[in-house]
Amino acid sequence: MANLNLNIAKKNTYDVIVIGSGASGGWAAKEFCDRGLKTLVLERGRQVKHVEDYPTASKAPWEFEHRGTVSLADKQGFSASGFMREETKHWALPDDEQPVVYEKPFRWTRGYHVGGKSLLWARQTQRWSDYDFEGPIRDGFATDWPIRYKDIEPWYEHVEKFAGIAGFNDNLAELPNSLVQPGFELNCLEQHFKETLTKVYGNRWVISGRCAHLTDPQEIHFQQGRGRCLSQRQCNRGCNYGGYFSSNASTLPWAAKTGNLTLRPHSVVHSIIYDEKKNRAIGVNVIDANSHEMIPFYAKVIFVNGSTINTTAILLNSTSSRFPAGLGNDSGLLGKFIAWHNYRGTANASFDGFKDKKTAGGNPSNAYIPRFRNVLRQETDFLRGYAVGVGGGRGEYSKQTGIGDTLRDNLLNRQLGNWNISAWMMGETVPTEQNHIRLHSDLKDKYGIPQIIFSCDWTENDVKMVKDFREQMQEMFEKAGFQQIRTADSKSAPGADIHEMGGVRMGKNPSHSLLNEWNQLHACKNVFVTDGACMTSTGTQNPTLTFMALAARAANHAVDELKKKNL
Amino acid sequence: MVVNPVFSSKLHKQYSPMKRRKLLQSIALSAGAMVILPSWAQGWSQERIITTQVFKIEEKEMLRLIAGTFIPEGTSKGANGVGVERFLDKLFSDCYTEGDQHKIKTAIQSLSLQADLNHHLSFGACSAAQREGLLLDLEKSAEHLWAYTTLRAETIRGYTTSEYVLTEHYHYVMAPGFYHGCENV
Repeated sequence: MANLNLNIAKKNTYDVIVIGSGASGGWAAKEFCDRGLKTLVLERGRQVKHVEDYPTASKAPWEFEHRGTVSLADKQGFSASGFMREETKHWALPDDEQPVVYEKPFRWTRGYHVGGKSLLWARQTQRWSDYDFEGPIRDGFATDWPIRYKDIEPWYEHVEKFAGIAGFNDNLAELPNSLVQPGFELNCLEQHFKETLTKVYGNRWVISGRCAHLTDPQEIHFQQGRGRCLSQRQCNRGCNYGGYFSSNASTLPWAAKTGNLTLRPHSVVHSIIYDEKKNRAIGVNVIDANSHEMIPFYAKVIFVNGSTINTTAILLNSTSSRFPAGLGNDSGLLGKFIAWHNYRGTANASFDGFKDKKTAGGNPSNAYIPRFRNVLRQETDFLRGYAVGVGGGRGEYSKQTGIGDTLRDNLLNRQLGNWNISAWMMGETVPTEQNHIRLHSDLKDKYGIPQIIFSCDWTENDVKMVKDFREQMQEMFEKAGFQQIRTADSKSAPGADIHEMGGVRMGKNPSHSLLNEWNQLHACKNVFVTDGACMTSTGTQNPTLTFMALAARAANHAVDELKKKNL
Repeated sequence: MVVNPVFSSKLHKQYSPMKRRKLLQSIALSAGAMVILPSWAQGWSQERIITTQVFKIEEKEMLRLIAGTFIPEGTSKGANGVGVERFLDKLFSDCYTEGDQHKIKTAIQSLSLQADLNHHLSFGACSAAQREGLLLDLEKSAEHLWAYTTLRAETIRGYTTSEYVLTEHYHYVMAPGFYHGCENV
């Protein structure tokens, strides 16, 4: 028996375990495999192989028997079925997979399959600057970031080179240049808006949003098996060309080619195993999603990349005599200071001009205004600020009036409409201790894992910021000569932005944070968190690029430390 | 009202049609909901219960005629030319609730009845102008307005998302391979 256990332990032992196969987990896996470490990637959902598991990627509208609508039978067991589409229903999560408790409203989007949300993301990749990293210390909230822009800058470059980023060198202090391939140009209306804002304000810059699309693939991208983006814009079904970055198209197949990767789908992580004698984590308890059997896996280093909320929950569920309140939770802050992005504000308008112009082809990105509020100094009655996503265009429409021959002729007679523009707010939320998640003491999911309780809400600061966004958009649209200007507050629940962050935040001081400057738990150095859970503050940028850069940086640090026998 | 097919077939075996209907009504009432028992429940037979088809042959034919009346064939293809009736049948059968299906069926019945009353013809035998008139009458009726709006909107959706309309008339290209933000019309 003892021998048998030893054999299992040996068979289930790797150099590194990475929990989660999304954007940040995929990056950790790639770095470890490249540097020769035997790496186990645990994914709780099913396998999704690049191309072969994208059943709808290159289907035209008429190839869907319900033209996009999901059948009542397929909606059974999905409480969020209102958001389901026939094109993407295979990514949806059935309610019974992981029931949770919403103490306050929250919308939690999960990607439970290999690749995670890297298949579903908006692919926007703006860098952070020190105006973001220095936010908490300047404005007196959260805790000081233990890193600055110079620490992450080479890793942004590392990630951008491999992933492939389309954009321009905008030369802005608040949004440092990325390593770019040719960007998608602004259209006539966005260009006009840009010129107006530049002239009127002098600190509001409309740029083309940098995005993880290949416009000029290089040898390193061909080696990944990826090709140029063809502007198909059905990205959230998976891309058969590998035109945009996902774990499935990029990091995971790359890691697999080294021969060092073991990818185990259907592996729900229950907890991290802490050895009280060795004072370190020694492995991970996995529940096989099919057999519901608990199986331990062992490694010298453990990376937790299960997505913000799950990563935090796994640590909370990893209790021991040394860590009765969750692994590494000496500060008592594990699960607290959850934050996200404020996407409540929207604005749109039309423009009665450029009648002789139109767009052609397809833009998988959009225009973008980096944060312009409170950048150099505090100047409003709320903290921080917001970036703005901007999308303009000139659609074609056909009249739908009449019946019979008239209706048919109307429908077939498509005409160019007016130019329209819309804008959406991407606000920084200020993390507070009250906004937290915790584990339920009784309720469990079907794997026997405690259910997560969400207790997150908007603050007065968020409400003031929405108001300012609406006023400023109204003003900017007016200055640009737009008509039919409408602004709105969706009052959506937190989490609708799918940018939840925090819970296991980084910081200099172990009594005010969980992770150090290398994303290691202060109190358990061989456990790293490099997904959204590590974020001390949220910035305004779509966060995935920063998660990926932090993951690559931390993974390389872990390998260096292993080589020095420090881990 | 949602009737579990397994449950229904048990009812069928154990009770006479009259008793079944009474029983169903009492179930509906005890559920506390405002449920009108669909008329087709009266005519249940073993074949009906086991079939998965929502619409009868005659109703499918009416869906075809309605789509073809909203968008007829001309120098360009119309709704029937691109098979909108098959889309409507599939969509209503799979994606609409039994209550909504019932409203559509009732509207279809009403169209047939009105065709007979107004023109002494079946709906299909009416001229295009007569069929259009009958449909427009449906729009004016409070009872059938929802069904009219739905039939019209889904016919338009089925037509404008067809391969023929998208590729021959709307210049649909799945993967254009480029983007130009400002070019001359």
